[in-house]
Amino acid sequence: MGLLRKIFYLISFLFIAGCAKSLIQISSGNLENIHPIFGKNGERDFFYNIITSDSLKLVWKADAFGSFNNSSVVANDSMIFIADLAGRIHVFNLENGKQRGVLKTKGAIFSTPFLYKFRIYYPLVKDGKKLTEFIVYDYYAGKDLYIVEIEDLITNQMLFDDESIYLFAEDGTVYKYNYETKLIWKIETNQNIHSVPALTKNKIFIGNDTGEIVIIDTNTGKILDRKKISSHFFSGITINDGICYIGDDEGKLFAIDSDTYEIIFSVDTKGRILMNPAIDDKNIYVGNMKRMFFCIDKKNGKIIWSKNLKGYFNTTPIVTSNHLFVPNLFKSLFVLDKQSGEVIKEIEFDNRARLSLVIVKNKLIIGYDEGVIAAYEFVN
Amino acid sequence: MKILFRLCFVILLFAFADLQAQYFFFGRNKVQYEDFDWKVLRTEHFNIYYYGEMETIAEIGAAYAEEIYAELSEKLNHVVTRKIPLIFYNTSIHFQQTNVTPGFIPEGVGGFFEFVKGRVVIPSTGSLSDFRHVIRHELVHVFMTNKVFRVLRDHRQPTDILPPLWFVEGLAEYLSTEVDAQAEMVMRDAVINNYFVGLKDIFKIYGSFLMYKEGQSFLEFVEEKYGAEKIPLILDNIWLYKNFNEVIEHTLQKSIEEIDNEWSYYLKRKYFPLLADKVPQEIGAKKLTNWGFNFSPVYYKSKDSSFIFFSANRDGYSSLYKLPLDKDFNPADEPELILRGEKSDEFESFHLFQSAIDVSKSGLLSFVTKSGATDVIHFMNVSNNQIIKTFQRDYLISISSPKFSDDGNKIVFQAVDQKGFSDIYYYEIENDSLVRLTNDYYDDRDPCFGLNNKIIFSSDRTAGNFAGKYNLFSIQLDNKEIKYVTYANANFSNPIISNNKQFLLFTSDVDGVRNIWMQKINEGKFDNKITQISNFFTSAFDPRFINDTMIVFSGFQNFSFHIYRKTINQSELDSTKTIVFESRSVKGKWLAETLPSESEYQKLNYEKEYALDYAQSVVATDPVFGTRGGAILTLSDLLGDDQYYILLYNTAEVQSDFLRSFNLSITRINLSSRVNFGYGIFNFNGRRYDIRETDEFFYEKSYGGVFLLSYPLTKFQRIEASTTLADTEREIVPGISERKAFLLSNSISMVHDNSLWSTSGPIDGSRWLVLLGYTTDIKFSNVNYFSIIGDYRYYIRLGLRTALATRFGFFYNEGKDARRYFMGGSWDLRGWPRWSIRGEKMWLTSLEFRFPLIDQLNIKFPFLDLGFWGFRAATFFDAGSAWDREYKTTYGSVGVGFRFNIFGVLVLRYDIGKKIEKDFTQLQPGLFYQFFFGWDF
Repeated sequence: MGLLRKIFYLISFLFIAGCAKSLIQISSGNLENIHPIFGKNGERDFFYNIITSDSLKLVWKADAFGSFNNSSVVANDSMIFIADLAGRIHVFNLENGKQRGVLKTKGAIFSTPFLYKFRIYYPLVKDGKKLTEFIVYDYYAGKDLYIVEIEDLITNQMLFDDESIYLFAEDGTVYKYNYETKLIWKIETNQNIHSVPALTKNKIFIGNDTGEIVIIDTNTGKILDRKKISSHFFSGITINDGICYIGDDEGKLFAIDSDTYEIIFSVDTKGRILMNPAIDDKNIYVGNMKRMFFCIDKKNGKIIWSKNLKGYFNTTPIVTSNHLFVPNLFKSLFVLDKQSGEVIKEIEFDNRARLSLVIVKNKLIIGYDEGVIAAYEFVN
Repeated sequence: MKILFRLCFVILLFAFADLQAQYFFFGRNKVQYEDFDWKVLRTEHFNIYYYGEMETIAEIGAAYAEEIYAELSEKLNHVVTRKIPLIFYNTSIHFQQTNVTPGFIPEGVGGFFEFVKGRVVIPSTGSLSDFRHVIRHELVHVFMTNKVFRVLRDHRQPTDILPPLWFVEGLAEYLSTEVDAQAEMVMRDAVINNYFVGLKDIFKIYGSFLMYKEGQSFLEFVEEKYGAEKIPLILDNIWLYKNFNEVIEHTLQKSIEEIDNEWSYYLKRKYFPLLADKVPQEIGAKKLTNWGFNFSPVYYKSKDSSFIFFSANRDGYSSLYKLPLDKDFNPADEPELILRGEKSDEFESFHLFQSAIDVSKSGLLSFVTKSGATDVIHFMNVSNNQIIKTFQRDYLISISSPKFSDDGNKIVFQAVDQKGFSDIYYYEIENDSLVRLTNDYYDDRDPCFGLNNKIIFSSDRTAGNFAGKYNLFSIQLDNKEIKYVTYANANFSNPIISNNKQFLLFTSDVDGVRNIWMQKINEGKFDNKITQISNFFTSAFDPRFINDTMIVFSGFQNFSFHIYRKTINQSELDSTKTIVFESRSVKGKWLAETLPSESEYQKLNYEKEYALDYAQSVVATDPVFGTRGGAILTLSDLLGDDQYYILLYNTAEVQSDFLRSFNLSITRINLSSRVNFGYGIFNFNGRRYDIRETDEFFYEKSYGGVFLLSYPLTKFQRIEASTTLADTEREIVPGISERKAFLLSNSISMVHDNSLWSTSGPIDGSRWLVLLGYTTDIKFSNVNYFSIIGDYRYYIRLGLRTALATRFGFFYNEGKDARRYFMGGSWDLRGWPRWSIRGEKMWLTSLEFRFPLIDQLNIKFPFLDLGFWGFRAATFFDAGSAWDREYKTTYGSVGVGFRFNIFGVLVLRYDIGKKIEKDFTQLQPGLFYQFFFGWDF
């Protein structure tokens, strides 16, 4: 009988745990959204103008429910937020990794959530339907503010500017909503998009599955230009100093003038590029699926160094003033000297790295398979 | 073999106390002729298992695997993070001995991926391009299953979902090979002959070769119409829908009907125009056979008659046939079976798709069969169909296509040795002398005698611009100098010189499928031009001369292989379809890839690491018997040679019985060598059904050990022995009647099985078993009896799908407290209550006429179409009896039965008939009706 009682308690515990309330409610004072979106800003340069130590100490690990695609956490000054592919938004305490809340929904969230004031904006793709719910959640009040149904699959990263949020559907439709979820415009580009778009100077730059670059005016929703320059784009666009950088399936990295839309240069890396390039004040950093990692002069496309490393690179790295932090599919993170490309350190994980890295308050936040989030602290 | 062992084991688990098995299992044997000395080559992403002398092939395979890994990672945006186990065998013959999978591996299987432990098992066939293709094919399976698992896991969805088989295999073919002559041949044939099925009906060709090729064709169509990037996206989207067709619809953004129509249209546009200048073989040649799969014809003329000898599968067995010809070279009669294969160890299998036969002018027929551990070449006198000589060498594992010299005293042939190298050999029959002509990893095949002491053969040793293509070469017998005969960007096979020495005849896939071509020989030199003499839209194989203007060949059309005869017209010899070789003096050779540096791999000895194969547990609650639970686990090493079976359950009915009601058995089975053995221990406690008394139970506790031995003499026969020692305590009536015994039981048996099966049971061949056993109580003398069992089943084939099946069984136990046998029910004595007739002695006979009833039954609902296949029926007569001391009565039954096979795993049986009662003097009034499951005897 004692055994049966224990089994009953265990099942009850699991049942109760499984039915934990779907709630994020954090009644703090003013919070600064340090890292509000994938790539940190609309141009997504993945650059941190800080000197980093190459000595990293694991501070905490936490578990999300589902795993991740190539996205990242977002953060305010005390919490990090992560969406998973099983349809949940998790909030963890930045300092100790304790879960502060979770939103449970049915479906999948491909996009990194967008933080705006006390709001979380995220698109929830529903299972078995061509339907996405665009949800705005107020985590101060602990409730949904808006739920908008979109008959499309929003599987891409969002963009934002001062007034609006931009959503990108798999079939190439682009939506502009204001912060109160009123649809401002939508436009069909008529080609599938799997490449992560970027935004600068009121223009959205999109690479699509057929190798076109499409430029959309954010004010009018009109297509300003579209031109086919490659076979397929599955990587993301990064913009820096008025130049868009994007890699294609053949391994070419293109630099495109954001005003004239002309190709400034292209570099052949000879391997499929799936990540957004990272850019600092001088160089572009990009890896490919042939295990090669490149440092390229952002002005003229000259390869400064290249390295053959053990991992396959499909997750966007970050660059600081002195280092490159490069996650890879072979269960590790490389810390590289960005001047020479030498591997300073390799940190091995239990599984494949999936999230692009984020640095928040001296902590490096990573994510890998099975929904694991880990925070490493830079130590001197 | 492994199955047999497992079954024996299970029987011993549950009936060990009675010690003589009630049921006897037949089945063929998977013979481990070789004791493989396994080694491991550990590379960055693979553990490669190989043995013996095949290190070079293993290293080449490792280099291929690493290269393919990198390529698939990029294409599919996915990596497999565990080390992938690749198990290499040097030939298909050794591959068929693998224990990684328990079942038999058919000849055509080029490798497999085992899903449970993620093992990939691949034989080298001597062709590095085939080896690379199969490695790639299987690694696509590894990547695809791993990626699908990962996608579903990422979305926290059930991970036991895979795409349908047509997609799984189609993707593996699509990513592993260009469209080759074989794929092209099958698809052309299917589309033009209208047996192509679209996605909606693809279940109708489930598991067939056509399904592989249609899956490949569909993905090629997707690439061309929608873009190659859509194919990995199908895998990425698999989490979205439960129905795979919806995944495709979502990815391609069209309905399945639209996609199906587009695909069908694409194929028709591609293939129908071929009919403008290509012909079906039935029109371009005279068809000489009308049934079955017929291969490798050779023409022979005796003094007063002429024949075509060929190998074929016309009735379920691969065999040799003789087709008599009239003076116009048309069939004078039906083909005559001259040698039956696959029924005896001597002719265990003909390699129909691989090996050709040949006949000398003096009437000696040479052909290859697998016989025991290796292939052998047989020489048969065609005048009396007697085998007069057999050639075999232990180190030549696989042999193909022997060809006679003009004088009939020598042959050349291709063989694969223990290194996995496919080379050409020259054999003098009279003095039993063998010379190896080539010795390298290039695939040399299809040799024939040429002119001026040369051998002509096909080889992938082509260098230069067409590196790796199978061109024709000549090799000088005395100095082994090799020269090009052809040099083109195509594959050439089956060369043969005409009787007048003026022409070289061969096949080539220049125009997509294999057609017949010819090359003139002038003054002993091969022309630098070849001419196409057949223009079929499907492939032709093994052309041979009847005379200088007539040839015979086998051809593929309408999903069947037949023998054709074709006259070569002068206009064809002057055909404009020619290829002129620009050069035949290409220097150098291509080199196979190797691993980059030794620092990136390790060579290790194989050490057994055990992992779980299967685990199942159950807990059941019953209002009468209470809560019961149990679990079964099986473990084995990576090669499947060493297996452990663990059974644990509890049968307590009340709480106080819990501790004493544990049942446990642990058994180890070792299949690594030809002698298979097993041993184990057990402890069983619980209520047992008492077969001595109807509907009674007794309580029994027992513990002991068992030892099993099995030695396969051939694929068809084995000797089995078992010894069991068990301490038993039986409580028949609580507190009153009990039996203690310390039982020692020994048995030895001989088992034979060469039966050929249809959908519900055997229809040809025979099965028999003879068992002698002795069981004694060595401590209390409560039990002491001997056993004799004879069980004989013979199947007389009356037609292709009809048979008369006979059975006679005699079961005899004699001695103190002997075990009883039982019968009755659908499996033996039909009409009588199941297992109701019992006795220490028993006999049983059955006669059954088995025939097909309904081939296909379709039911069309407004919302659903259902199809059922393979309904069979039988009329039967059974008779038998069982008794203890005195013979009592004879039982019998007659009737008719219906059989339906569900998905190949279960046969449902429904019998209607009359019992023969009262010592065989009276039919029962009315009818009996019995429904059960199980295969025909």
